[in-house]
Amino acid sequence: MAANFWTSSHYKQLLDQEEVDVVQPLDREKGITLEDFKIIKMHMANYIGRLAQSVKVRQRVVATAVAYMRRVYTRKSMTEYDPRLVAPTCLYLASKAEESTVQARLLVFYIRKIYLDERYRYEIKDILEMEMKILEALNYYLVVFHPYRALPQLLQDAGMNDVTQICWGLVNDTYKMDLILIHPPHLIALACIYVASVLKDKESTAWFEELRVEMNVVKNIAMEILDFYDSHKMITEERINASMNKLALRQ
Amino acid sequence: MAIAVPGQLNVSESPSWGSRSVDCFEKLEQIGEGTYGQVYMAREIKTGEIVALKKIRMDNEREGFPITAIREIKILKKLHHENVIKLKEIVTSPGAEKDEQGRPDGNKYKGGIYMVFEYMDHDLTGLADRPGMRFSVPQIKCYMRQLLTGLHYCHVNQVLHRDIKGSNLLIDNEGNLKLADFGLARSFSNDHNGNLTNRVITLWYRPPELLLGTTRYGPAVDMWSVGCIFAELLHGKPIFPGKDEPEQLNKIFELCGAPDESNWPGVSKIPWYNNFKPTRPMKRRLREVFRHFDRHALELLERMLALDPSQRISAKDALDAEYFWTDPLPCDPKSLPKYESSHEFQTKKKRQQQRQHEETANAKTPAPTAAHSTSANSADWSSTRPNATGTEPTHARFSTPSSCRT
Repeated sequence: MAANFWTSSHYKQLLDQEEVDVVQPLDREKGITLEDFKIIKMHMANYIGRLAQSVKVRQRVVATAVAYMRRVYTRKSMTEYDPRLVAPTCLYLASKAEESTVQARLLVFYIRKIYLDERYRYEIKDILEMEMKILEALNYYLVVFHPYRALPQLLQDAGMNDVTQICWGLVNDTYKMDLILIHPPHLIALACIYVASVLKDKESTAWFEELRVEMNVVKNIAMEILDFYDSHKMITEERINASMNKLALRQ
Repeated sequence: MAIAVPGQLNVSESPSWGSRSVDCFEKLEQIGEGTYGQVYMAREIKTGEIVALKKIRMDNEREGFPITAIREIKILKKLHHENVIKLKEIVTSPGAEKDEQGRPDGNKYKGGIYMVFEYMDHDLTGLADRPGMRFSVPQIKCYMRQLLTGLHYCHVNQVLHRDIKGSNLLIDNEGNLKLADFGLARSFSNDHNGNLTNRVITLWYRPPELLLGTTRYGPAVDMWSVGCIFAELLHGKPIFPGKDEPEQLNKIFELCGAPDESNWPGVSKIPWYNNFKPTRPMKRRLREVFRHFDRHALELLERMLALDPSQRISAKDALDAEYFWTDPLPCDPKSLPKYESSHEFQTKKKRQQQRQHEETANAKTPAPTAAHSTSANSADWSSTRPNATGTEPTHARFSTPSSCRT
């Protein structure tokens, strides 16, 4: 009966990779490929992170905002829901949902500061209007569980407190991917611990075996994280701009 | 690859994203005034089902969708219990707003947003205020047990209701009681409870720690309100009908005694303790005043109305109290009598209309009595019940700035 992850809307809304990797028809018409789609979402996740640093909110707010943004694009096209407006609006909404409210005018101020490009210029009223559209697109489900919560306890249990920093960074980076839409957060946390233990040459096999989790899932997530780091190196600024420019195309 | 157990992934839920229009419902009548908007009884046109529509006020909202509504929605979406009101869906109303040139301004949300709830026939205050209404002991036990069960569920899920009062306890004709109006509710965590606003809970049901200005509190605040309701059910009228904060505290002290370091360790460190410290000693008189109550009822009430929140009984322990396990036992909700719909808002309105009627009648008679005109203003307690939001700064001392509730 408790409102934990297993009874939450977050759990009920977990998706398959194939469901997440769908480029909406309107976006496809603009020539946006699955790769572009992923690059734009990653770029926007980074943008949310930068904005959050300016307005000074906790990492948890960033994580929730990115999760909202990624959920929106499983249902809506980037053509109708411009990511350059959706991203800051998700941060705005997440700041309310996570009890660290950021004023809309402050957000608008920093958007202008970060992006001189006028395609990014938005007024308060644009944010407030998009907020309503996002609430609808999310069907008002605003609770998101994150891997951060489980992390300290798991590391303590594994006797690996010394890799806390690395794990925390790894978890932050998982938001550059769609993992939060696909896997339960504690498995993402375990995958990050697994990656950290491999990187730091820590013996963790026995501990993982005792956990009674689906180790193949944890390893798959870990592989995805490592793959991401590999491919991430190839994504240049030009490549990002190329994807973003497709968005601006008029039909 | 999700690892949900087959069948547990609820893919059929909400097949179409986006919300329906409020036009799917036909408003029947206003049945209440929520923390931030009106509540209507309405009929879903397609199914004929009766629901309650609660309007989220969006005008004058410079920061978009109100954070209070976000809290309420988040909380209601996470709570699923037979003693907690069920949020069925959220609908929007296409606003007829036009911009300066007279074109529709494209913002469909200006028209308003409504939360759709299951309809409940009564609220506890409305029901209790019905002329000639007397609850039986098994009936009171039945309502109290449901109230405590629902509240225990909230507390286990780390939600403080923060506005427990009769008009927020809804009752249907099956005798089921449900907690409603989570407009002031908040999630709390045991590890970092602090910096919460003390301007919550309707004055008459507000515990001494909030009146004394604490910003660190927990589930015990709701339990005080439960104690007030319990006493009200047994006593037949509100036990602490204060008109402002100082009077409220005074009424509490008169019944429960004045707090000091011996009966409430730490009380002297609460912000406004020194402002409100009574000048004369005041003894606890609860047992004396309510000596006619049943022994077990009095015992439970004693523990609910403990001044020190850390000594106040929890919802869970209250459910285990002798009171609920001795004859006469709480009755089965289904065995309760069925009444014609009554909400506090309606009974209040009826009363006002009746009074106006009487007044016009009286105006024609030569000598209206002075006593009558005062009763029209304040002597009738049920027409002057306060609201949680109606108690914002009434007193200079309380006007600490607070832009939004936390």
